[in-house]
Amino acid sequence: MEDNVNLVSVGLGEIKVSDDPGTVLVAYGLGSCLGLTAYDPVVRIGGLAHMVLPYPNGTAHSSPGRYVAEAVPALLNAMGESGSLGRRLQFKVAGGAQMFTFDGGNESLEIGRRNIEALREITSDLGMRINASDLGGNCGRTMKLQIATGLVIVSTAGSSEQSF
Amino acid sequence: MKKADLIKDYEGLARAGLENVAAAFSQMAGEEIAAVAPELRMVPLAEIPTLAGGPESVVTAIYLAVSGDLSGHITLVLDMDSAARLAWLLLGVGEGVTDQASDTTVSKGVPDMDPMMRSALEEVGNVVGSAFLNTVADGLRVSLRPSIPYLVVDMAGAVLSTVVSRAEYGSERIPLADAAFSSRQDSIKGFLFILPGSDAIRYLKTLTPGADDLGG
Amino acid sequence: MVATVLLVDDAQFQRTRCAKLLMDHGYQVEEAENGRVAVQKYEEIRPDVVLMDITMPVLDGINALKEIRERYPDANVVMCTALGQQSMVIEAIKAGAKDFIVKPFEQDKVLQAISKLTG
Repeated sequence: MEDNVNLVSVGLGEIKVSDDPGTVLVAYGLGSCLGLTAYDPVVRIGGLAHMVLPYPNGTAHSSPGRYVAEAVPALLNAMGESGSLGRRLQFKVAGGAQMFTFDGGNESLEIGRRNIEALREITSDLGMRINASDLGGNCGRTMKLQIATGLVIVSTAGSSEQSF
Repeated sequence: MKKADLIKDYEGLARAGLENVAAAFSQMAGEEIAAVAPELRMVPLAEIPTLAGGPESVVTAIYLAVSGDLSGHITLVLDMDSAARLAWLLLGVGEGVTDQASDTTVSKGVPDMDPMMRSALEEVGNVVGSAFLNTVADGLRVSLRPSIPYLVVDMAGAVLSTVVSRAEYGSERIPLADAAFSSRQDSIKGFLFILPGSDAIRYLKTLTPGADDLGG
Repeated sequence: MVATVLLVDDAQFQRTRCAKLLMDHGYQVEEAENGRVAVQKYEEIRPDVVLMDITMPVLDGINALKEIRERYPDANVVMCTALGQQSMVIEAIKAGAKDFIVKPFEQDKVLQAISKLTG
């Protein structure tokens, strides 16, 4: 399977959309970050946002995908501009892990948890339904979206990969 | 520390700090470990998770959160073989530890690392991170305190992206001080990454002439 | 009389290594993994010397030093820490530390610092 695959990395704060069936969009090493995929199965267009923090803090920046609050609408726009239809989109999300366990610390302050909460709020506001997710825990994840099929594969350092 | 008294810019302090890290590292390991390409450079945030041998490579990382007069984040990254060999040197035991360490697996995020090995590596992180902080703190005449060390075994990209996230930077690029560390024959190799907090970056701008592009 | 040293460090590795060094040189050794336990153990066993790390969970070494010195003004506390900044050395000495050893240290330094205090 891997031979003809064009692995396209989506780095911190990036959003990428593809209609090339040979492409796999990949977010490597999601720790507290969230990877959000959108896929239109009719036209076979997919996008991946690699989100880092929940809400913008006011300073100037240019990564469209850095903040969950901005990345989600930006991903929807990018998908729309590529020719996909909003109501057909399937959404899947992975990440939001707590990599460092700070004993005695306030878990709710952990960025992974805050990202998950922000995503819940934004998707609820936008009326979006997340079809599948692999969130939380303490492990880093790599998330891949196969443009040909819409299949998402999540792998960790320790266990075998799962797909959904 | 006379040299640190005279150096008023962060770049000089960072380099001196990384050299002191090499000295502390060497003393702990009992063999010479040199800093390779210690430098301060502006780096795009998205690049940072790729800097320790590839984002998917499984590593042992020790993280220290810095607080006090300025905030920051220090991460020591060792590949699994280097972690094993370093622990072996520190614990002064035979090959058994090395085998055990090479078998260290990550299952559901809980590393099976031997507790004494874990403690030894956390202490290395504490000592080398503090060596860097001491140089910078004395040079700037401030107080910089590390947290207790946090050890994780996971993909380098996941560790570094999480550290970057914790810093909650607003800009695209930040001044990263880093060095590769290597013993003779490359039996122990690692990286040390120093990310200043946004408050520290603002403070450093006041010290460094023409540093309006220092990000933060 | 055998002198007792209370070793305070959150790193099990460090405690074990130091304990071996001290016991090999004839000292009796007790251990504490943070400053809170250190204060409790000091009250219980009244060691001749305390070897105190600074960066620890629950209660750090500087605060443990202050608490011990407040109740026992002639306590012999030697800081043994990687945190060797000027500001830290000054704070520790002001709080009553008798000596300050920076990690990584030569084993002789620790032995000398302790024997100076135990006579």
